Amino acid sequence: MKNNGHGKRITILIADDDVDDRMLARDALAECRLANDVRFVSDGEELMDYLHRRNNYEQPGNAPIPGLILLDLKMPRKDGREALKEIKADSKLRRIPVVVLTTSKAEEDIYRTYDLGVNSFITKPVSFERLVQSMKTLTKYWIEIVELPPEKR
Amino acid sequence: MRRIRDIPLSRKLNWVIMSTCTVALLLACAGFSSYEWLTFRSAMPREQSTLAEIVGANCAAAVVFSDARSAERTLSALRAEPHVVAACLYTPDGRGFAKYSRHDVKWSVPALLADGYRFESDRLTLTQPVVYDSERVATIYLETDLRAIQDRLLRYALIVGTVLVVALLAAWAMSARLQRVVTDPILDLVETSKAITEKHDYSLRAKSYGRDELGLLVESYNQMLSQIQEREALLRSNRELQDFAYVASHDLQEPLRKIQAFGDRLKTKFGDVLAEDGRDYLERMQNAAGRMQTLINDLLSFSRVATKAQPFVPVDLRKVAHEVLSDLEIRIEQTGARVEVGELPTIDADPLQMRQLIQNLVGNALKFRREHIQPVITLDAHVNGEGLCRLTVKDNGIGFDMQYVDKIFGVFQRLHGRDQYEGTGVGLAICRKIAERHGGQITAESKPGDGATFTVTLLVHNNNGESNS
Repeated sequence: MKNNGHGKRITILIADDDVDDRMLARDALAECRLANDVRFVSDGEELMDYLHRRNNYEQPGNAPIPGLILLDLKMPRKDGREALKEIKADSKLRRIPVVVLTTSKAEEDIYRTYDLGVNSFITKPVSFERLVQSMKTLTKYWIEIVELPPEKR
Repeated sequence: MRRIRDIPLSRKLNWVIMSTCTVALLLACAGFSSYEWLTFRSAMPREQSTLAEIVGANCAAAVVFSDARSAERTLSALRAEPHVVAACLYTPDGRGFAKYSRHDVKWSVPALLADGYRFESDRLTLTQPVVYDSERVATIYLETDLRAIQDRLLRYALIVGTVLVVALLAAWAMSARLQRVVTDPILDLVETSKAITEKHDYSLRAKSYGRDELGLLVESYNQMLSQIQEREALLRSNRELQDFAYVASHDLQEPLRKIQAFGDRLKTKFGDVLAEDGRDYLERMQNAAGRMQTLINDLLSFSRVATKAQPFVPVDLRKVAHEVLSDLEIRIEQTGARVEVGELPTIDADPLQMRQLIQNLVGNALKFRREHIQPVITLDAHVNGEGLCRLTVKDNGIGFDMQYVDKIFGVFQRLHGRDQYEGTGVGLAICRKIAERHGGQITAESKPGDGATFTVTLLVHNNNGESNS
């Protein structure tokens, strides 16, 4: 059965160090009226801790496996590129769709992240309306439309 | 063996000085020696002749009276002259009459020779008449040993040789010290150049030693260094400015995006509860944020002319112009403009920048149109004999006063209020930067109310695409 807003809750994990952006993303997802579980981590290290259930995320309930990761590239400690590289190199994690959501429009960032196996590259929209639009399309696509391999873990 | 031009300067100078000194000293010594030799050769017979004359005169009476004993006594007075080894007198018929020998008593009188002197290997012989009462009464023969005198000459040569060697040694010592007057500034210059090449430190200066040609050389070298240093500083600050513009506009976008996003949120969620003036303030804030967004974007594209420059490839300007016109299609339709494109050549250029250039110029021509008059825009190009392409964009718009012609190509320079014409004043600055990067420049010709013509010169053949000055 497909997961949608009425079915099993999908966890969307957002990795972004910017408090404002996290707030906007939360608001935008709320605006989509998709009752998904949205969780935040603030840098690449914390993202990897979450995915590997280490440190603060040892309790399984604290870290449900995400159905979609929204990844910012510019983050302290471990940036998005490094985290992406680790996720795509890990046989248990590489099937989780990762969407880069960043302010960068630099061509080399686009090339490099696609080379690393990112599933989509999106530039953070300027206006909130456009952000809501993007979130709606994203979640609809990755959670309702796309057929992903069944979870094994 | 290394060639002379490859040996170090100081040794070369030494070599030059020493060879000059040696030649000069040798010539001087040779001169002195030959003078001495020649003097000796001419003085010797004269002295002997005088001696013979005196002795002959003293013997004349003895000869006349055939007193051989008296003659021999007189001859033996020659003992006082150590070089005279033998002497004899001949009677007018050529027979030996009296003789004297310093070493050999049994010395026999040689056969009579003709008058005059003869140099033999180690002796000088002289034969001359003995005159008494202006009548030749006998012939005197004098034999002088030259060995002693030759010894003197040899000693003389030895002294000359010693002087030569000592003089050369002194010259060597002096040249080693004095040549530094010339070599030190040059060696210092070389050291400075080496240090600069290795460390890329253009603040170093060569030491000046005086106001001669070398001093002038050092001075102009140092001036060149100052110029390089200034250029370096300028290049660096240019680069820094470019980096700054790029980074700043990137980082400025971040907070700006949030101002816009939260402004949006505020307006959507709480627009209804705000009073009329509150909504107006919000509106103005958002307009300002939007304008800042445009400014940043324009600044970014301005700095990208240098930072995101692409290598030059052949670009068909005609094709580019048509692409630009299709991009601007809606605006051309809205304004009812007529755009004429002449024959445009293919040149070596950055394709994206050519597009940007033509887009900005045509965009300006559309923007600054006169009201109620159909805009007519002409794009044309000529390639001159020197391989320079002159691209012109001519319009019949509002034009501008030529006193502002330099101002319009500056960044953020505008001639009109924002409420009249939109824009940030970066477009023409970008055009100028693109033109300069393509080995040309941009100029404008206009009269207020009478249209404007922008002329961009571009090199047709240009393989300079890798660098971005």
